[in-house]
Order: sequence, then structure tokens, then C-alpha cells
Amino acid sequence: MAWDKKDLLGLEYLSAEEILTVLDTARAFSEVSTRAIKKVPALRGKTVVNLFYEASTRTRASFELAEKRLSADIINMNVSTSSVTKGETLLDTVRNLCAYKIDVIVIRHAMSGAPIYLARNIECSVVNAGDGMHEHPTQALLDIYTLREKLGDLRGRRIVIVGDIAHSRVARSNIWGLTKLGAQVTVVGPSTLIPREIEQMGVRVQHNLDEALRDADAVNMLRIQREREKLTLFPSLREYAILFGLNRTRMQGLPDKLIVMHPGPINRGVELSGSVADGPNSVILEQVTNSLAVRMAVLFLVTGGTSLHPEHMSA
Amino acid sequence: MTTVIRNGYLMDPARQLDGHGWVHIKDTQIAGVGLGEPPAGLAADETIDARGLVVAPGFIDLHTHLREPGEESKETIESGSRAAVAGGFSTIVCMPNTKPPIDHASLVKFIHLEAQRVNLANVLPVGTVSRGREGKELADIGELVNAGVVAISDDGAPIMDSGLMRCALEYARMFGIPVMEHCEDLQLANLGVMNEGFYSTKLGLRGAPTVAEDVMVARNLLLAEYTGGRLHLCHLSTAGGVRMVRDAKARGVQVTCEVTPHHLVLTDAAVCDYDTNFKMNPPLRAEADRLALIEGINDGTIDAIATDHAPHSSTSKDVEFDQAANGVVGWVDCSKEEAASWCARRTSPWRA
Ligand SMILES: [Zn+2]
Ligand SMILES: [Zn+2]
Repeated sequence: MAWDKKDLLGLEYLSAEEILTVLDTARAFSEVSTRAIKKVPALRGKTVVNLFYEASTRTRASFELAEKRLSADIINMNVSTSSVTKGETLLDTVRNLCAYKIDVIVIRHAMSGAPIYLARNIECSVVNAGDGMHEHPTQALLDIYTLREKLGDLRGRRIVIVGDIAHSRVARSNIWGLTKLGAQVTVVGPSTLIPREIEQMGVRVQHNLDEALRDADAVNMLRIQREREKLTLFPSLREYAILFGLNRTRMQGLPDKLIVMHPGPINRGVELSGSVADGPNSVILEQVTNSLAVRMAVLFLVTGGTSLHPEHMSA
Repeated sequence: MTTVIRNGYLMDPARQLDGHGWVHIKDTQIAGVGLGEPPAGLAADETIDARGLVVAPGFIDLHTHLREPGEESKETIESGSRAAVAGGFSTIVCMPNTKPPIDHASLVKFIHLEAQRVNLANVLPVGTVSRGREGKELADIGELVNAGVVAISDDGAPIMDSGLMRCALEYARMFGIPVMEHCEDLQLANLGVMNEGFYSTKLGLRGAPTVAEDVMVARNLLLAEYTGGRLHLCHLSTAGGVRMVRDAKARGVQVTCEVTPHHLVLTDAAVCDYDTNFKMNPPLRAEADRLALIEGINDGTIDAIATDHAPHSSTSKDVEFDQAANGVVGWVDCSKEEAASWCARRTSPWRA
């Protein structure tokens, strides 16, 4: 197994081999959640802090459950951004936590690069649970895990990512991970939401969803938010749904086997219609299930787990 | 007391000196300078062997931030003068975005008095364009000039109100002083923290596009042309800006401009791991912009290299990138030789 990193900061910083190591480790852990007693001792005696500077229900629940199933001791800290601006600095907060001899900090932060800044300054492991518009590596790993379950080897597969690419950390992490594994990635969205020079990250840009999906193997529909900027970058959610939403009518002209993903939470009727979200092409709930195994694998690897021994996995 | 410096490499673009030579000093005055060996029979109490060293007149830095009054924890007139002299700068022009801003004659007098007390570098104050540096109405510019300001500027921020900028150029024309302008359309810059391009895309950082600067360069050049006022553009950082200044100069617009050392040697690629030392305004740009700036120096479009020395305390830099203050230190790592080599390249063609 190829893993010697203390942190998971982004997929940009991983090799294809390292990504596959996480996915293989996740496959081994996936079985734990099917047991009657859903717990293994792999992280027994380790302390994990979930430090969330941004509201998040699903990512936090998923991390927390993954930690519990690995038998870690955990602390949850939700810091509202308003108290941060007046209070102590991020580094001071974290240095205080480190004084308790913790092992892992799982951090969600509104500012791009915050986990990288932390990892440079502290000893314990840092897992990026989403930083600003930069990366959300565990989300992309679980997306890729789900895709590989369905498609096998991703080399040459055509994956389309639709939505607000400019502000999306999910998009960036998926682009790095998928391109490293040899997939062909196309990003689709309103031209105001496609950031400049993104082609240099190895993707194609399209603005016509039907054309982009014609020969696609899978599509990842990102959550759209209109109130991101002072500037309005597109006219209305209604117009967005017409141009970039996936609904039953649009699905009719598309490949039968098209895999539909969404990182959640879904704006039903905007980027996805209910019928597509709950339809036969959707793997959205499988993504949620897979998130546990993937996050267990990440926590196991960053805390120095090199290979899975039976004692890690005993009940 | 007489001194001779010999064997040094003389660099003085004003006197067109560029080669090995000698300097003769009598008491506190330069008595003679020349290339080659000193004249036979030139007596001196002391001889300094400057072999392998550059000998140059004190440099002038026409864009610095000394922070005093108001933010003395970052820099003071004394510490700034000391750093300047250590870096080979004997004259420094200081920007008025202090707290309070230099918008009143009494504050200009304070700077003069403090600089005299420190007695290291010549400190030339700039006054604000607008009262309180609020960008609303003109400061008492005539009084500021009488007190000794060499220019006016609201640097640190642009003058967003085009009407006010027109008035400033027109009014300052009476006194023969330039308006030094920080060109940035704040709406287009959209709170960007680095240059908009591949690296901002990759890093997920908010980008400030080159066009935010270019739009204001264009506006200011048009207003200078219309009013006949003297315009000085601070810290030009884009290829578009260089092109527009070149065209404006060809048309006879009264414009000068400066570029910083960091924009000449660094690009936005330096930000790649969120190093806040490379966060500045204007941001580090792309390689094509950097090359255009060098071309602008070679063909005389760019008149000066100025440091925009903008010190911050480490607490305002050791934070998340979005929260870090803008600015770099201009002098501490600027040795005499480095500085001299900048000037040397001003006279001999630059290599990219
Ligand atoms: Zn400025
Ligand atoms: Zn400045």
C-alpha cells in the first residue's frame, strides 16, 4: 500500500496510486457497516476533533459516524464564523486543542487553504472536510468510489460535472481525482460560473448540457446557490433549471445507463427533479452509504495505519 | 578629512557612469568621480578598496508606507528611515494612508520634524487627495503644498469617484504636483485576494482580474489628457497598463508610472501554497504581465522602480490567506548590490 501522509488536504496532492490505496482500504471497511455490531477497534485510543467553522449536517454526521465505527474518542466543535472574527485566531484555537494530545483534526472552514495553513503549523493529522472554494477531498473520494463500484476502471470514462464550478470545492476535488485516474472530465455550467483557465486543470468546458451528456457515463449534479455573491451571476433559479437542470424530459434523450450523482443536499426542482433524484439512474443514497467506508479509510490511513490486520477489523 | 573609494563598480545613470572607477570625498561632500584609476597625486587621508562592490549614489524610493502616525507597531518614521538607509535609499517618499491620514498641513509638519530628528534619510511626504482620505471632497491641497508635500495620493485605495479624480488632476495642476493613483476598480476587483487566472481557479481563491486595474488606468489617462494635469500611476502590474501608458506618452499625456520589484520578479504562481507573504495589492500577476513590465522598463515606458514598502506585523500575516493583510517589505532583503543591479538594468537592457 502506498501511503505515508499524515494529512489529507486535497486530491491535487495525491498520486493515482495513493487515491487507489484509499479506495481499496475503503472497500475493506465497507463490510463493517453491514455487521450486526458496526464497530472495529482500528482507531481505539485515538482522539479525533471535528472542528467545523461552517454549518454542515451531513458531512459532520458522516465523519462522526465513521470515527465512532473505528472506536475513536471524539470531540465536536462547531464554531460560528461571527465569533471567530472577534475571538482567537484559528491557529490559537487549534494549538490549544493540540495541547490535549489529540491525533486528528477534521476541519471544515469557509476560507480556501485553511487546512493547508494548519497542517504547516501543527503536528497532528489534518483532514480537510471542505475548505472554501478549494477542495473537499473526502466527498470526491466517495464519488469516485461510487463510480468505480458501477464502472470499474475509470480510464477513458466520460464524467460530466454540472453547476457552479467557480465556487465548488466538490468540483475541484473531483477534477483532480478523476483526471488522475484517467477519466475524461467535462464541466458544464453558466459561463459566469466557470472559472478562468480551468481547462489547464485538464477538463473540457461546455455550456450545452444535452450535448455534454450525449456520450457520458456519469453526471455529478452540484448544488446551486444563487445568493453566493453580491453580484448576481445568473438571472434566476428558474432559468438555471431550464438550462442546466436534470429532469425526466431531458433524461429521455440520454443514455439509459447514465449514472446520476449529487453531493447533497439536493435542491429538488432546480438542479435535479424529484423523479430523477429518486429514479433508477440515481446513486445518491449509495454515495451516502459509501461516505462512511471512505472516511473510515482516510482516518485509518492518516493516523499511520499502513495495512489492515485482522485485529483492526475484529468485532 | 579626505577619502578615496577605488576599484569599485561605479553606477550613476544621471552622470552616465557605468564601469570601474573612483570617488573622492572631502569631508561630507563628493569632490570628484571618475572612471578608471584616480588621477595621479590625488591625496587622501583614507582609502577604501571597493573591489567587487558597487558604488552608487543614494537611491530614491518614491513609494513607501512608513505607518506613522497611527500604526507604529508596524513601522515608524525612525525604523523606516533606518531600513531605507540600510538598503541604500537616501530619499524616500511616504504615502499618506496613515491613521490619521496626512490630509492637513500640521501632519506634514509632524513628518518633517520627526524625519529631521531621526536625521537619516530625506523623507518627502505625500498628502491625501481627499479630506480624511474618504474619497468625497478635496483635501486642502494648497495648504498641503505650502507645508511641503511633493504629491497627492489616496493610495491604499483608488479614487472611485471619477468626478473627484478630475477635480484633483485639474486642481493639482496649479501647483505642478502629480496625483499618484492606485488604479483598481473595486467593483471589478470584487474583493479578490489574488490575481484572477489559473492559480486563483486552482486554489479556490477569489480573483481580482487585470481588467480591474486596466479600467482605472484607462480612465485616469483619459482624465489626465483632458485636464492637462500630471498623473503618476502607482505600482503598474498589467500588460494592458503598460500598453496604455506607452500610447498615452506617445500622445503627449503628462503621465509617469512606477513598478515594484516584486512584480518584476514574481508571478501569481508564487501563491501556490497559500503563502501570505505573496499577498499584495495589486496582486502578483501572470508571466505575460511580468514580461510586459520588463519590456516597459527597457523602452522607457516605465519611469521608476519603487518598492511600495508596506510592512505589517507578523500577526496580520500569520493567518488564513483570505484574512491576511496586503503588502510586502521592500527594503530588508534589498541589499545595496541588489538595488544597484536594479538600477543598472534600467540603463542597460533587461533580460527577461
Ligand atoms: Zn497602492
Ligand atoms: Zn502603496
